Amino acid sequence: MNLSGTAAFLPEDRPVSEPSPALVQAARRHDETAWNELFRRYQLPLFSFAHGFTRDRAAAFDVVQETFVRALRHIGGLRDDRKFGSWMFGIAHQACVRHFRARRRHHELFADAPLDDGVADGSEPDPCAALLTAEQSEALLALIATLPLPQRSALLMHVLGEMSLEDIAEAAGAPVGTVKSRLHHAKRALRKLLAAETP
Amino acid sequence: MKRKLRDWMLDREADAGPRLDALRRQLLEPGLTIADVIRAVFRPATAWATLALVWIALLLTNRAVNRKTAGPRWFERDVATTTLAAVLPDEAPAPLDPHS
Repeated sequence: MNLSGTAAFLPEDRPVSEPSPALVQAARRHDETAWNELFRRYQLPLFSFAHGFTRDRAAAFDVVQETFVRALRHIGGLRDDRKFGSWMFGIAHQACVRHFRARRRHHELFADAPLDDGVADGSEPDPCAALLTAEQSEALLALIATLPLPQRSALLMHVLGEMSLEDIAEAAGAPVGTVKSRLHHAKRALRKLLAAETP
Repeated sequence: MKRKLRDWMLDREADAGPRLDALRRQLLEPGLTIADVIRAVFRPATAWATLALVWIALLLTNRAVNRKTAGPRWFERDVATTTLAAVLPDEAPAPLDPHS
């Protein structure tokens, strides 16, 4: 088994879709090669999620480690092999929540910003799908760091995990409507910034 | 160069790659099976041994406490009877008179 791959820039480190069910089934059978492949695919997105969520680099490494250990232990609890990635992000989300609880910053999790109006009608451009310059991306990342935790968490799972509303709702333990609203407000903030940045 | 937000986010964290690789390797160390990892986390042998030690400690403590409490109670009762007889001889229980 080759575990020495450090190629963080390889495309397989940035999965754009869920891994094949066969790979997940191999992981269920405690196949180390399968686990290595799965962890390698998700380690960077999970780290980026945890870092963006907690804004604490050391904590982000802890979150990734905890996510891996819990995934190994609880793979039997995964209901749908096609949702492995969402499941991993769900575990990471819970680990981040525990991180905040341990630091008595749990109140931040419930500090939902006042959500004034409805959700997107689908006609607005998605800032997460837009092609950005380095400057634009820096500005967006700085803005994301200031979003309320529930919005930030939903947006990070949407962008990094490429998760559906339903999967984000399940991972965050929130109703789909709430997640939809959070995501809408987060994206609207990004859109406003992009509009201001664009000459 | 223009890219999607996701790619910029992952690029920004790329320097964490080697440490994440090390973390992954440590967890999936060659020769160490998943079952070993789970066993290492749960350590059933250690858990059972600890439980056995706790039971032995409880048993010994229980015996020691019983031994201590049994002695003084008998002793205290005897002292109380003797003291009562000395201070209030009339109140002391008289020996049974076989002729009465």
